[in-house]
Amino acid sequence: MWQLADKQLQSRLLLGSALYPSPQVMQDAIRASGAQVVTVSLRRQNPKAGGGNDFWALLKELDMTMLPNTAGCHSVKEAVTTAQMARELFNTNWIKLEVIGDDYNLQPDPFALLEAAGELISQGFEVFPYCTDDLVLCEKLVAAGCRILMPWGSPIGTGKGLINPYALKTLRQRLPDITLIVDAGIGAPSHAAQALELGYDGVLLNTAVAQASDPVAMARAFKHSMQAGRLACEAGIMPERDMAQPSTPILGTPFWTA
Amino acid sequence: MITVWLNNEAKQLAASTPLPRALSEWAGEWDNDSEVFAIAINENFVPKSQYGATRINDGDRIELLAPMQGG
Repeated sequence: MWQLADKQLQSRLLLGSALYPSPQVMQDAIRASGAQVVTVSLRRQNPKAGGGNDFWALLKELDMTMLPNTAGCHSVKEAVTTAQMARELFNTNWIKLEVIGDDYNLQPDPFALLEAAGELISQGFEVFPYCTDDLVLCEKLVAAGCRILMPWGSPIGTGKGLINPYALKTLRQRLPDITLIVDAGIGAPSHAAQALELGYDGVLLNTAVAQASDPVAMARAFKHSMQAGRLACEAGIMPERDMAQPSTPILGTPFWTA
Repeated sequence: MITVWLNNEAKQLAASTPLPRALSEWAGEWDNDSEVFAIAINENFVPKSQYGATRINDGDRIELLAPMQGG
């Protein structure tokens, strides 16, 4: 079990609900992943279309903790208003705060993110900021009251994995008491395992499962990789060395002469 | 009549229409208890508890958002 904000969870995987080939596959994949937190969003809706209600019914069937996002927001005002709407709609004070600064790589705007995070925390939100791996930004988010940080592994939807393990490792070392979740860029189960091996508390992903050839099987693969990564972290990974060191004992080496 | 914008679509309404009446005009039959949506007017969130006291003014931009898949 681990603590995420006010909840005790077993799974360290947070899974997105978008991009699946069908609602049924989405449900099956989420269940197969073992995830207990699912990310959701808000979009313009024609009331007669009823699409929002259909999706709402599917979510209720899953009976999971929902983490709404502010995807698509480009300003503090948009993000704060969207978070307020999400709080009413999903009946939760959790918000995955996204304030996009660049449309090509969907990189967060660190300045607007920090301002929006401070405002939302003052309004009683539990803010999960989607941020870059910049140490100073992360420290400022913590100073603003964030208990959870979600640095990217790489840009959203790229599947490149952890492109700057050094920066992620630095965050883990410097912010030992903060819940750290790698969010975005995960492409393969090995990437998720790597994040947990680095000591990260969790991983949030969507595309890697939803766009796999077999999303349900991939969801299971991620479930196992997360368990492996966490177990490895707890077991204590050997330190890296620059020089070779024989694993076979030298004592009694045949044909050896002094 | 006034012109307002619902999810970026122009709509005609009688001046100073209360929000609940505007919603029922747009949706045909609107049941605020069962429909799952949230509203902002001019980028300001309007809680459900304030719908009755909210009137729509000329040029207002209304965002009506529903749950959607997200990552």
